[in-house]
Amino acid sequence: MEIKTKLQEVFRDVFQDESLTILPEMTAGDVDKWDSITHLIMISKVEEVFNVSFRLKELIKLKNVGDLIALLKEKTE
Amino acid sequence: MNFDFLFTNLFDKNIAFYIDEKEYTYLEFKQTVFSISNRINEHNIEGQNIGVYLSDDLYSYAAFIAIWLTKNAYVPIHPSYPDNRRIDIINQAEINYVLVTDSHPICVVGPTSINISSLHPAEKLSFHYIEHIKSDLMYILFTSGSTGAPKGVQINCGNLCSFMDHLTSVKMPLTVGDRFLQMFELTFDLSVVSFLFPLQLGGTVYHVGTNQVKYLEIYRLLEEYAINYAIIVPSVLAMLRPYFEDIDLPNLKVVALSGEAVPLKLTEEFQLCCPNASFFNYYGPTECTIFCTAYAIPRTEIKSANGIVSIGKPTLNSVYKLYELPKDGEELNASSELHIGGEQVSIGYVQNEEMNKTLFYKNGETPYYNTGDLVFCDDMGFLYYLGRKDQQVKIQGYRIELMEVEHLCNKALEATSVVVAIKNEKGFDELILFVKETEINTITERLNQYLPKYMVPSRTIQMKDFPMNENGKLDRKSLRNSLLNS
Repeated sequence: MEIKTKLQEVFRDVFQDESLTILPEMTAGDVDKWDSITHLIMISKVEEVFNVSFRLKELIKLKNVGDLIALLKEKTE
Repeated sequence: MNFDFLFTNLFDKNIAFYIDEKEYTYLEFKQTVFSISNRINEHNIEGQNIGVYLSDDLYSYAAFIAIWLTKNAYVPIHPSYPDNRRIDIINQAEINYVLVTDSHPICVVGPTSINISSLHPAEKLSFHYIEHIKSDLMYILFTSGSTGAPKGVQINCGNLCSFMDHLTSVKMPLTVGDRFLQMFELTFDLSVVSFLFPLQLGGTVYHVGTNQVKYLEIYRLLEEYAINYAIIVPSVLAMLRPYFEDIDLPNLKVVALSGEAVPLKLTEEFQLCCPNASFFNYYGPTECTIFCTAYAIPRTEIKSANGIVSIGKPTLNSVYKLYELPKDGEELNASSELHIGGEQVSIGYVQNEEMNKTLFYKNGETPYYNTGDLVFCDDMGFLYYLGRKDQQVKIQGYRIELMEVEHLCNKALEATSVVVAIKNEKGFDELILFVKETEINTITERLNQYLPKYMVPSRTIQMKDFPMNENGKLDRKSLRNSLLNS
């Protein structure tokens, strides 16, 4: 399955919104339930689903969903 | 008040604020402050409470200082507050004017709105400032009342100057140009020290924006901008804990933990990430002006009780009295109710005589506030926070501190837990344990090994993570509500 589709499933699950469509420019400000806690949950779920682990230095550079997709591409290739 | 940063050109070229990737010099800040002050003067407003409808930019900070210069008190109003709370605040504080910006132009119907984001920067950098006197009100911050109606804590110039006297009396290796973290909502009083202290030293305030994922943005600023002084709530550190191995912050000179109980283990682990920092624990309710006891946390042999770091001793102009509560047989420490006295104690809540009579009183000339916090004092005079009086419950006749139960549960399960008390259908207190998801399937057996039977929670709920409030503090109320609504 494509990264974006898999990631969208994680987002829908974590932010409890079945109609959520992720876009590259999307940030925490665009999603109702996206705060520190749900971010922690989302990151650990992404790590589990994609079988990767993130360093803190990588996480602080993520400005939007597009950055996360690019980082996942880099880590899974 | 010391406004040297406005009335001298000592720091003009230095950066005063860093907000949303933009730097503002002291000169720019002064121009904004003076233009707002002039506008307030045009309305002939003095000795009033002025609302500030908060925005995530320089204007809120400039508005606070301009309100002070014109001898008024500021009342921050958060855009996320529901309409009723905003109206309640406006009415209680008798607010006639609200400063607003283009990003949030309408606060409530009623008071006059003054839009400050369309003002031109002041050309004349002077203002006829008449020195404050101690009784001049500086700000009113509304805290949640246990009855549901918010209570407005009034802090005057005497309170704030007394607090600043303490802060400047503590030797800290800070200099002009140092960088300070400001992670707090402006409705929370730790924000006041987080912007006022740097301005008085000619430092830079690094504002943590509300549009970001807070704990990551805090770390990004600490690391990328080599922050030197940071007041942080422990819950934020708890979120960064999985990454402590990667964290190295050699530029931090002072780390102050505040806003909630400070866990010992977390502190010890974070100290390793900040090899050059002096650590402090600041304690205090809003009613006693930002913080009223402090503990310089050493690198070894940290004083603690129930896994919580000592809150130390009173600040320069604060005193305290302890009212010992009768000790139950099995209690570990005799707990006392903490009453704080001295120059930092607020004159009381705005328009709330009933609560003022209950919680504020005078002993001779000294004003006191009953904090409702339970503490004990060791032989050396160090205070230890044990919990809230209203978090004390009686189970089968035993008086129980929820923090003590939490501490024992953490030990038993080697996990992070939160215990809340609810009244069961028979009207008795019942303990509910929330624990971060764990693979342990023998929770009850383990708890039985560490806790007296009457302390073992009757129900356990596993959660991925605990809810936090807007200041990054653990939200016990929301946990309790989740039980009541289930």
